Amino acid sequence: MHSEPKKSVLVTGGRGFIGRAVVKLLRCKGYPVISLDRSPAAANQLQGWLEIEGDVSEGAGFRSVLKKLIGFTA
Amino acid sequence: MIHLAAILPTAAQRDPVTAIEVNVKGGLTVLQEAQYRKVQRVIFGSSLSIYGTGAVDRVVSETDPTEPEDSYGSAKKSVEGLGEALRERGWMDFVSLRIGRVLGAGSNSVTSSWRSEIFELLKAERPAEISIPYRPSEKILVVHVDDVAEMFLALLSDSRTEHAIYNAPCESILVGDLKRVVESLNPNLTVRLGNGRPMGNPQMLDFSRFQKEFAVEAIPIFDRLKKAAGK
Repeated sequence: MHSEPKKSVLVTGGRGFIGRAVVKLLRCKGYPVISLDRSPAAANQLQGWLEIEGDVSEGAGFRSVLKKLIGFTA
Repeated sequence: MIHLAAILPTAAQRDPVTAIEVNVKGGLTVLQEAQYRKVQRVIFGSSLSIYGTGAVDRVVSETDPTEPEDSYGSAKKSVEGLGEALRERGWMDFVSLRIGRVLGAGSNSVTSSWRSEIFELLKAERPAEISIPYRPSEKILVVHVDDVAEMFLALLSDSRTEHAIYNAPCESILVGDLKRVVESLNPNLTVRLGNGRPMGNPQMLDFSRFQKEFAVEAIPIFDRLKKAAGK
């Protein structure tokens, strides 16, 4: 029996204290995760998750992140 | 989407312009873009600081008035307000989790390092001190970071939440009891207490709304401390 593929989750502030715990748990549960944070980070694309640098207060940058999210799968 | 990005209260006091940029403008941008892109659900990491300090014996619920005392709490209130309005109009599935003081290893907080140190130093083999700025008789509402993550997962998984706003289940613990437990778990540790009163957050919380709807069982903080100490 196949279960429905889980939908992608964008976590803003994904490198913060709560954000890291949330990203870790979502990955454990099989969610494709995009972690967005202002902290400098390499654009890592590991299995099932993507970590990118960005700022929620910059509208254009945030829009491009959402475009990535829509097409992101595990 | 889970929106957690924020400039925390102490940093917000140091740099209020950046704090407003991120906490208010950033929040509004997230909601606007999420609505435009038809994001299925936006879960917002809010704060109990939205209530303000209030009376010591006041038990606050989600329907109580919000009276934030700083720009951080005011920003949370603004973003929540917009999210609720969008939800009421059926334009977005928005839900907010109001969180207390978060404890656990790895916070990297400079101003509230005790929140992590009470876990990180439990196996210290040499004498070490932890400073908590509050009086022993004060109560603080705390929650472990791993339990907070479980609460966000629950809000993400549910088909549709009954409400837009939830108080995160938190424990109200006495600062003096926290000191006693930490010192008993490792005699190398000394917990120094200050004379401060915990400001900005209530001391008693009604979180029955969350408990009625979601099956998240938080592990008591003192049990987590014992486990972290290997006992």
